[in-house]
Amino acid sequence: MSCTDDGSILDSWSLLRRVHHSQVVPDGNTGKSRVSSGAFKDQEMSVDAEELLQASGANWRKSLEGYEGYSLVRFPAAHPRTLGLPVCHKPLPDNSAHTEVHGKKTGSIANKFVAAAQWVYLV
Amino acid sequence: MSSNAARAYRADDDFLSPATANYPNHPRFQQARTAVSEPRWRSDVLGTLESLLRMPAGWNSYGSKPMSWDAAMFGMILLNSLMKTDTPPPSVVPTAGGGLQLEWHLNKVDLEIHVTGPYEGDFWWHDHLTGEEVSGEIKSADLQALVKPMNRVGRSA
Repeated sequence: MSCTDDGSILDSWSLLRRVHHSQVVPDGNTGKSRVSSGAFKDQEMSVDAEELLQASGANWRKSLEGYEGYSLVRFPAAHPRTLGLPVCHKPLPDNSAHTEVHGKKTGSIANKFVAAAQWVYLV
Repeated sequence: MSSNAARAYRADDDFLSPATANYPNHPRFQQARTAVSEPRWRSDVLGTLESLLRMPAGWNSYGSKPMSWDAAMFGMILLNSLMKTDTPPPSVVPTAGGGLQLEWHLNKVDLEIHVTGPYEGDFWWHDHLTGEEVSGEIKSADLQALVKPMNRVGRSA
């Protein structure tokens, strides 16, 4: 599906991405849990725009509803754009905050997502 | 020990006797030798792959394909070629398109090998000490580009 970045998702907003437990790995360099770059390799990567959740009276917990056992990370909407990747608002019938980040994510690019991501909720 | 058990024990124990010319061919000897020489990482990785291969489509909550057998098999082939006795086992991570990633984050190095199918994938590594960052594609059996980072993860900096 095509994705034309019309700027409706503002740079200052945050994007939320669920992470399966198999994509959380130990990082011996930091002594902490690390989200694997493998969690950011979809060509059409679905996320939720946090500010759109808040506008509808919800918050990040909404992204985890029905997804017990998943963790959640947040990264700035500006970040994919700095890597040349378009960010497109693609509302779904049951999720008006649904957004997609399109484009190929090589190891180098996917690891820039890792660097920008912060844990919102870690199982 | 009953006399029958004692007889069985002695008969079974014959392969330990140096006088037995063909003891290296005895099944128990072979079994013991395999158990000692089989690297630990292999059973760890196989166990992880086994459970990841059972994950259904949509496992990541975003409609991902299940992990492909081809990717898993090629991942094992890569490891068989690259792992040394002192290389710590990798984290094995599924990726959205049905592939897998082999990852090490230790000894001041991050190394990731992404496998999407036989002779198909890419790698990325970053040396925290030198700032060196290298990425490339895997398109053949030539794994020369991975020798340096594999040596780095295998020893303390």
